[in-house]
Amino acid sequence: MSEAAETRLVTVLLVDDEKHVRQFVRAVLTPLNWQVVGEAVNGDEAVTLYKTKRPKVVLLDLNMPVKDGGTALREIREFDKRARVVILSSMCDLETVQAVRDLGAIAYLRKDTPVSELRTLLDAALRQQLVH
Amino acid sequence: MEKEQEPFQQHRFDLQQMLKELASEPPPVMAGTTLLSQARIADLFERRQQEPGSHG
Repeated sequence: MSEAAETRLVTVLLVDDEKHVRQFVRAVLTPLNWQVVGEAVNGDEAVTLYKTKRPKVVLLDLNMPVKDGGTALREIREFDKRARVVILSSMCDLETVQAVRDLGAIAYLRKDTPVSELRTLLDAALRQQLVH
Repeated sequence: MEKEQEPFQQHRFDLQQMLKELASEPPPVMAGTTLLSQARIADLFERRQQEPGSHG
């Protein structure tokens, strides 16, 4: 792979305690040409994997055992202020959304969003971040 | 034959009525909780991007 292609390649860390959700997200990401470089089943694993894999984007669930997504988001952003974290959650209450927004998440996607819209929103979120 | 169908039809009517009542009720959420659509969530994040001094 050329250096330019490697620069364009979007590496992703998938974080969700449910295997079928991770499989679903992989399927969503395939046409976007995003490469999944790691999968974590809780917030604790997410923080550890972020430090070793250094992905361009983290797709993070909120409700997880051991360490929840909100705590993982805070710790990842403390480690790397430039970390791009997209929340993918079935929770959609104002308080939760505002809290993760204030912690520095770049986008928040509801899990019940249609697949084509999910792709569009993920692509837009990353493009916007690369511009800013 | 018609008589045998009556209880079933009555049951269907009750079920439809029940669904109608359920549809008219707000979803069970905790008091004071506001649920957001994807569009509203995106709007909240977009506004953050536009805030002065925001680093995303």
